[in-house]
Amino acid sequence: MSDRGAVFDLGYKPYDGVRNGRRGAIQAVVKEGWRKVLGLRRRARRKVLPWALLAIALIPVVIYVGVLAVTGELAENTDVFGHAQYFNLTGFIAHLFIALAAAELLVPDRVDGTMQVYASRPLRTTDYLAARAFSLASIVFGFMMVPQLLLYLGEGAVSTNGFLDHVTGNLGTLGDALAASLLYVLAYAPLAFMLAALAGKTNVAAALYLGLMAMSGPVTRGLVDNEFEIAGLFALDHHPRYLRDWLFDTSTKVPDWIPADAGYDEWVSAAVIAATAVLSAVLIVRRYRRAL
Amino acid sequence: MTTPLTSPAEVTDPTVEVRDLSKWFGQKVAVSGISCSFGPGITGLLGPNGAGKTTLLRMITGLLTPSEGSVAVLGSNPRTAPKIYRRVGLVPEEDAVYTYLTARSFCEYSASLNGVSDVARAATDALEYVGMMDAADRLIGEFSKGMRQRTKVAAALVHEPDILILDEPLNGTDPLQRAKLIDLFRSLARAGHTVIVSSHVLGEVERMTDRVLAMVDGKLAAAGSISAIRGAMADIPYRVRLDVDSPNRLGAALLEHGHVRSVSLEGDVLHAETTDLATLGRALPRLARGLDVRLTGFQPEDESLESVFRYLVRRR
Repeated sequence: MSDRGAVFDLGYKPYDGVRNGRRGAIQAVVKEGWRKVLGLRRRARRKVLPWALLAIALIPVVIYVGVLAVTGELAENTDVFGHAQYFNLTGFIAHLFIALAAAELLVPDRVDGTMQVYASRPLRTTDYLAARAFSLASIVFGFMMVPQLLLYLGEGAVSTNGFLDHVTGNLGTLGDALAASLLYVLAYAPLAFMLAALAGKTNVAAALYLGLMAMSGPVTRGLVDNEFEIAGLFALDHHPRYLRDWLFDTSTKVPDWIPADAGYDEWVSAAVIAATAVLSAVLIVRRYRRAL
Repeated sequence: MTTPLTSPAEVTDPTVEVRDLSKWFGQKVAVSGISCSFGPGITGLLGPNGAGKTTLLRMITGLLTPSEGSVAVLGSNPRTAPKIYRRVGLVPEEDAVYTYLTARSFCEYSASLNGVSDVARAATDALEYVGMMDAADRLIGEFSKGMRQRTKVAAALVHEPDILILDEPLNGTDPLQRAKLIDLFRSLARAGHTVIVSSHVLGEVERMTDRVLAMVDGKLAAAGSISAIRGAMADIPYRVRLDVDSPNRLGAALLEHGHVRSVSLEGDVLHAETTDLATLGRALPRLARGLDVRLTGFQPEDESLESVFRYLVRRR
C-alpha cells in the first residue's frame, strides 16, 4: 500500500471559457423578454393570454382561407378582406396584446426588485431598455405580420395562377404589409412602453394604454368636428391607419381618418408617429435614470 | 485613488475603495463620511439594522449614487463603468430572482448577462458549489428562503467574479448550508478574491473572517481584526473567567492589583474585570502559587465579536 496522500481543494474553480461582450448580454435580455411575453417555458396559465390573443387574431384569416379553399377562388372584392382591412379586423386584439406585452416587460422588474439582476451586470440602463424595447417591437411585429403572411400564402394556395406565380407576382402587397406592420409597431409600442415605465402595476399600465387608445379617437374627433383641427394631431390611433391606407392605396375608399379630416397630409401623420416615439423614448430613459 | 495605509479601515492592495462617502435620503443620513478599502480576502461588514450597511453596499455596487464622496471598484466608478460588473458578483439582500425560472435557468441567464459563453457549464459549476444540484431544475418560486439564498449566491458566482459582495447571504439558511457557504466564501478568499460580507449574525462573520468593519448610525465605528478592535477599547475593562478551587481567596487577592477593577462570583466561577489583560495573565500563576490555590482555567470572556460589537453599539 502506498503511503502517499493528498487533500484536494473541493472549493471554487474559476470559469476559464470564452466571454462574450455587451451584445451577448443584450441578446440574453431580448430572449428573456420573448419568454416573458409569450410565457415560453413558464406555467400554462402564463401562456394562455398571449397565445389566445394570437389565435383570435388568426381566426378570421384561417376561416377566410378555408372558405377560399372550398370555393376555389379569390374573393373579387378585397375591400372586405384585403391585407389593409385585416389590420382593422385585428385592431383591438393587437392593442390588447401590445398593452399586456409592454406592461409585462417593464413593470415586474421594477416592482419585484429584479432590476437588480440587471443593475449589477455589465449593462447600461439604456442597454436594458433597448433590449426590452426590441423584445416588444419584434413580438408586436410578429403579431401583426403572422396573419398577413398567412393571408398572403393562403391566397397563393388557392390562386388559379398557381401558388408561385401569385406569391412572386404580389410581392408589393407583402412589402406593404411589412411596412404597415412596422408602422403599427412604431406608432403603438413606444406609447405602451412609456406608460408601462410610469405605472406601478401591470394592469394599471395596460389600462392606461387601452384607455388612451380608446379615448383619443372620440375626443379628437369631437374637437376636429368643432373646427379645432390641431386636435387631429392627437388622434393617436388614427395616424398609423391613415398611413396604412396610403401605403395600400385604399385611402380613397376609407376617407374618415381624423388626421385627414383635420386637413393633415400623410407626412404629418408620419412625423407625429416619429415624434411620439422619440418623446416616449426620452421619457422612458429619464424615468429609468431616476429609478436606478 | 490608492491612498497610503494609515488606518485599519484601509488595506494595502485595495480592489474597492470608498472615500468620504455619504448618502442621505431627505433628512435621513444613511451613511456619513465613510472612508475604507477592501482587498483580497473576506471582510465582514457589521452593524445593527439601520446602520447603513446595505446603503454602503448599494453604493459600492453602483446601485445608488453617493450624495458625497466617491467609490472606485477596480479603479472605476461603478455608476459610469458597468463593464466592471463582469468582475463583480452581487448577492442582494432582497429576493431579486425570477420565481418562474428554475435555479439552473436563472444561473444560465445570469451567466449570459455577464458574457459567459458556456452558460450551461458555468451554471452547473456554480450550482454545485452551493449544493443546489439536486434542486437545479425546480422553479425558484417553490424554494425555501435558504434555497433562494443559495441560488442567488450561485448566480453571483456564475461568471467567476474577482469581487463578491454579499448582503446578508446566510439569511434563512440552515446550519449545514451555512457551514457550506462559509467554506465556499473562505475558499474564494483563499483563491485571492475580494469577498465583502454584510451580516448582523456576528458568530457567522467571526467564523468567516478576522477583518471586520463595524458600522453604527451610518458611520464607521471600528475596523480591523476583532482582537485589535477590542484592544483599542482602552476605556472598557476586559472580563475574564477564572476556574479556581478557592475563588474567594483569589478574588480578594486580585483586588489588590491596581489594574483589576472588580471581581464577582457566579457559583464556583470567578469573574474579574481588568484594564490590563496581559499583566493579569502574567501575574496569575505566581499569585495562585503564593495563595496555594489551584487555577484550572483562564478565559477572556469579551474578546468575541459579539462582545466587541455590543460595546461599539453601546458607545453611541
